[in-house]
Amino acid sequence: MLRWGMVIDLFRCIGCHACTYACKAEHRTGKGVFWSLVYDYERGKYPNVMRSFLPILCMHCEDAPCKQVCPTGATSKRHDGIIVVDPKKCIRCKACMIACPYQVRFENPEDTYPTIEGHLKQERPVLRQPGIIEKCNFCKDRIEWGKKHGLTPGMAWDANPACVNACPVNARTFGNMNDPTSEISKLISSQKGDVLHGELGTGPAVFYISAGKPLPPRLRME
Amino acid sequence: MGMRETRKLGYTSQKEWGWPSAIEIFCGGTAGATYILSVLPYLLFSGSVFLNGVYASLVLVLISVFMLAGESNSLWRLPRAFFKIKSPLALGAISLSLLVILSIATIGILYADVTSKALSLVGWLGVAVSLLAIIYPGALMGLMKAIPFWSGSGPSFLLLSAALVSGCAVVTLSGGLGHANFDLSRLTLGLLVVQGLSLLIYIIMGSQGSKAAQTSVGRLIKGHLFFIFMIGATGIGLVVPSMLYIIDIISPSAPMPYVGSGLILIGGVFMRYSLIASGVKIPMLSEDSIGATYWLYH
Repeated sequence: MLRWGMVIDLFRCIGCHACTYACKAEHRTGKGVFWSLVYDYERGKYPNVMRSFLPILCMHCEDAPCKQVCPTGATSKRHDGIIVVDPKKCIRCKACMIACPYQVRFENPEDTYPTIEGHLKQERPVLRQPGIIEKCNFCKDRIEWGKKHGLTPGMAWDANPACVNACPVNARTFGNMNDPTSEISKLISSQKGDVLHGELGTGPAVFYISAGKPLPPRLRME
Repeated sequence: MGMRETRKLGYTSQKEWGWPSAIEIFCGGTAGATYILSVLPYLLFSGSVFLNGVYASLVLVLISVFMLAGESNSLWRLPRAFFKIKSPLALGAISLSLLVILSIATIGILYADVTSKALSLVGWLGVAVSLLAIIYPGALMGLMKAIPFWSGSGPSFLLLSAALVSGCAVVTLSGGLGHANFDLSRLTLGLLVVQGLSLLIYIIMGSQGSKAAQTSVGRLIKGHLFFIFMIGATGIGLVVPSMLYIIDIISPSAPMPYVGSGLILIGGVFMRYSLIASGVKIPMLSEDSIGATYWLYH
């Protein structure tokens, strides 16, 4: 059974936003739309000031709240666990945006503009429509392309999500969570990966680790 | 349900439900309750169907349907909302649409003077569909794990009691006070008490819940929703009408139930809006956020 997931090492993340830009370049999302982003906070008072970063993307939950509330089935879960949005089925009710505890769903901006969906030789122009809800899809087209060409997502550059490739400090690891021999499974088990808002029981596929150090007590935010 | 953009959260422009959704929920729920109260005397007590109530129900449900359809900005895509029955929103779209059809059918049967069996069948179907139309917003809100104040079955009970109160008010205002085979004033007062208790329990549970739920309660009782909730929803919609109905029961006077009903409807809209607007999402980060430098200090 295949289930794609991602591990993000918070100890390594330097908040460079390379993942954000790589995602925008890959999916050519509209103004104000960020499928992958990094929360960047300053805290403390001078001179004891520190910055903290939390990379966020769609968690591709096992029990996705967005999928439950979608009235049309536009939001669905693939066999490999990726939560996808079918723009042809979306009626723009935006209930999924409110249901998502991670706030990673975005409404397309008002202007209609062309984009390219797909990767490498599979490029096909798609006309984006205003009001349609979008979100991270783990670069499913890259995964499909890679698998078609005998590559293993998580192991091969061309089959990896764009944000994973772009990270200069290798803070992101992608792979099959259900394969106990995969790097991601080893990282989750060996470093006790934790999820955001685990108390909600949504079963996210994005885990956070801290390079062997204990995770901050507030990872599970209220 | 439609939304309005209320805040910018970092990069994201997240949406929240607002007045249009409140009006839509109010009209849909009230329409359902009005239909139930209009046909139940016929179905249960061998009375007659209160035609004015069915008309009122039809008008209200049409308003709700138009609000629901208008906010999606995509009329030609809307039929898709009928196909995923597991979603409360789809159930809402189906029940509201069916309520339009069944209200028209009820009116048609009454005018055509068709057999009573047909009226019974349509009436019972209408009651079932009305209950769905009343409950679906609460069920949808209950699924919103991101907003702890809404999670669970609380909103369903609250909206059910509120809809029944509003339904009584509409039946009263459309001239059904003497039509019902039961004492509508006493029923309305009883339902007002139930709604008040539901609201109180809901608020208490919210105040003892998570931090986000407590923030929601704070918005209602001392935040920017204070006037809408405490004065609009509770004062105008609950306390004053209750007093008017008590006065009416002690010494019956013609205007009391009508004034009370009008206030119930105004307060009902405020109640729905304050419930919606008070919803606070779980914060992504607390003050003690995490990141690369966290371990330098811990």
